[in-house]
Formats: sequence, structure tokens, C-alpha cells
Amino acid sequence: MIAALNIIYLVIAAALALFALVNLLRAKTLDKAINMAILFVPLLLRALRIK
Amino acid sequence: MKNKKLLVNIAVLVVALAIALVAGADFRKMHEPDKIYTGNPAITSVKKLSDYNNNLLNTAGDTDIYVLDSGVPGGKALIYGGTHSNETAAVMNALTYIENAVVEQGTLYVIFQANQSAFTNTLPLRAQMSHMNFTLPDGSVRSVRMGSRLANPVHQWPDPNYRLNSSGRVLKQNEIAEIRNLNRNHPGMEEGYLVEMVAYGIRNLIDTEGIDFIFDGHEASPEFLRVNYLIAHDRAMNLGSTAILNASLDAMMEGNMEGYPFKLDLSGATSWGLSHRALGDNTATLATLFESLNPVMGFCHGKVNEELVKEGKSDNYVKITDMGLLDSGELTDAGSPIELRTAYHMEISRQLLNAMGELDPAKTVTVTGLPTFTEMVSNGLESTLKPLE
Repeated sequence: MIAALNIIYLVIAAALALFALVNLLRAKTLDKAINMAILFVPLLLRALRIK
Repeated sequence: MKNKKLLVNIAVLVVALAIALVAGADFRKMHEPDKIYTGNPAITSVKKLSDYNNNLLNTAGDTDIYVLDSGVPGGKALIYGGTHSNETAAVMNALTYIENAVVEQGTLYVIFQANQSAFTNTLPLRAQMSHMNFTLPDGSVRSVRMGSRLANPVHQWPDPNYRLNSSGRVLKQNEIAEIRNLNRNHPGMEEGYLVEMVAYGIRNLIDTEGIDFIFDGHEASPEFLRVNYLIAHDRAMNLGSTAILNASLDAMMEGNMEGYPFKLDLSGATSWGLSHRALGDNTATLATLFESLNPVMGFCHGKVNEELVKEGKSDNYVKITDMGLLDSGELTDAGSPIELRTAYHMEISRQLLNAMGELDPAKTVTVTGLPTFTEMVSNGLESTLKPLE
């Protein structure tokens, strides 16, 4: 159960990282792009199980 | 226009990826195990915690247990550090035993990274240093990781919103991260969260090997009310008081009339999940825990640098001390250097080992080969750590 929950959370982190990436590429202003980049970095590191 | 925006966004992405790469490399480096000297001929075997809880096999919690068995019947003791991996003096004390100790009677078990996962991450937003380095006389450098008091969320995630485990401590609201704190989850669970399983491994090690006494090394912030205190379970109070009395007598014999600053306190009856309470209540061992003063653990220390983590110097805490605001963690300009903190751990744990034999000769564990307190303070860890081959 605990291991399954861990995997689900990792999938959620990966999905959110992907969502942030898409929004970054489609951002209409520079500050929105930077906002998405700030979200993207920690989500990516968590999805990759680095941090 | 659209292409220009896309180019700008791609540029932002490249910068973000570059930051992720640089930061990620640093974080990955924290996962590399510390290299230590294991050539001490007194080490008779190296066990794994998974030998005592099979569920830890191939996990980040499967830490090494160094066994120094004299072959002569006597007592059994467990000395460990790294319950909180940023409490470095406890880690250095365990390493001092692993690399230098000679056991002439009884058996000594030593763990230097009790919560191994915690060594792979630092506390977020605390601007911690990740390593402490020592340059040895031969010019080589020994590097020791300083991690977090909590296991890495990469290994144990998410934290549950509510948890009541075998410790009896309810973890909820702002305490939920404590599920990754080894010293809140004793005596642990055979199957559960990683840290609960680590705690169970330690409990089962004590039960299986029949360990008579344990020493859990910690460090505390100046604000903590029990700095330089030995905390002992009810059944270990005789052992603790004998050790502190003997330490004072030994100091006086060596001309140090001020003695050591050691004090003794009884384990709190509601210290749920802490080693001195939970392992004392749930095993037959005599459970003790010691706290030395480490200013980097506090919140007022200023910039974290080598001077702070190694020399334990903090102008802020000297000012706070001068204002009379501290109860037990007073800091002077001399600081609280790692050599002194480690020497305190070494001295009190050595005195506890001696006291165990005094109180019950059948449980004698005789350890030699360690530096004296004065040697440790004067020559530093550079003289006790061994070069790696």
C-alpha cells in the first residue's frame, strides 16, 4: 500500500512536470514562462527521484 | 511574433534545464556513499540492518553494522550515530570507534549512519553545507556527509496526514514529516514506512544479539534545554550516573578540575518514539542518548560556512549567551569545535562501557585503542581518521 502510494505520487509529479513544461512552451509572457520554469525544475527532480 | 515568443520560451526552458542539471548533479552527489576506513583488524564482520529486518533489503535504509567481537565472553553494546545525519559529532564518534577501537572483552556493535537515507539530502531552505572535510597528515582528504534529520523524501514519500504506529506518538498536522525521523518512530514496524522498518531493524538487532546497552549519539541547538545531557531510560539511570561520576573523577585525576559538563536526565515518560524511551521500554537493553552542542542546529547562527560547522563559532549565539538567554547551550568565542563535540561523545560512551562492567562484571565490554579526550581535542579528528587505501 505504502509502495503503491509512492508510485502514484511519482506519477502525479511527472504529470505535473509535463503540465508545467507544456505551459512553459505556450506561455504568452516572459514572467509566466519563468513561473512555469520555477515549477518545472523541482517537479522534474522529484519525478526523477533526485531530490 | 509567435515564433519569437516560442524562442523566448525555449530559452527559458534551456536555462531551467541547466539549473536542474547543475542542482541535480549536486543532489545526486549526496547519494554517493561515504568511503570509510574498514581496515581495523578488530572488525570481525560487517552486517546489514536487513539481516534484522528483511524488508530493508535493497532499500536506502539498509545500513552497515560493524561488529567488533573480542571472542572473550562479556557484554554486548551498541554505539550508533547518524540517527540525525546533520548531528555530525555523533557520526564522527561512531567512525572513531570503527576505525580505532580494539575490543578485548565482549562485543561492540557500531553503526555510523543509523538513518542512512537521511545522509542523501539536506534540509530545504536551511542553506546547509553538504560535506565536512578533514585533511589528514598524509595530505589526503576525508569527506563526511552532513545530511538532514529526516530521511530523504525520494526514499519515503508522501508523508501520511495521520500516523499512529508502534511508538504511540500521533503524527499529524505540522508533525507529519516526523514519520521520516528515526528518533520518533522507535521501536518501529517490521513492515511499514522505510524509517519505521529501520527502527524495527535496530530493535530486532538488540533483541536478537542480546545487546545489554545502547548509546544513541545526537547534537542539539543552543536553545535546546538538555545540551551535554545524557538521557537515560529508568533502568539505565544507575549506569548513567556511574558513568558521569567516573568521568568527573577521571578528569580530576588528569588535572582537569572543572571536569566535563555532562549532566544526567531521566527519559521522559511520554517521549514516545525516542530511542531512550521506546527501546528501553520494549527491549531488555539499557538505553541512553547523549546531546552535544552544535550551533548550526539552531535558528540564529548566521551564515553557514566551514567556521560554523567545524569550529562551532557563531557571533550571534555568543551575543545571545551574553544576554543570559540560554539555559544550557551557552556559547563562547571559543565555539564548539567538532573535535570537542566528538570527544564528549567518545568520553561519555567510553565511560558508559566501563560503568557497565563495574555494575555487572558479566557484562564487561573492554575497549582500548581510542584516543584520550585530551588527544582528541588537541590533535583533532585529522589524527584519528585513517587514510583511505
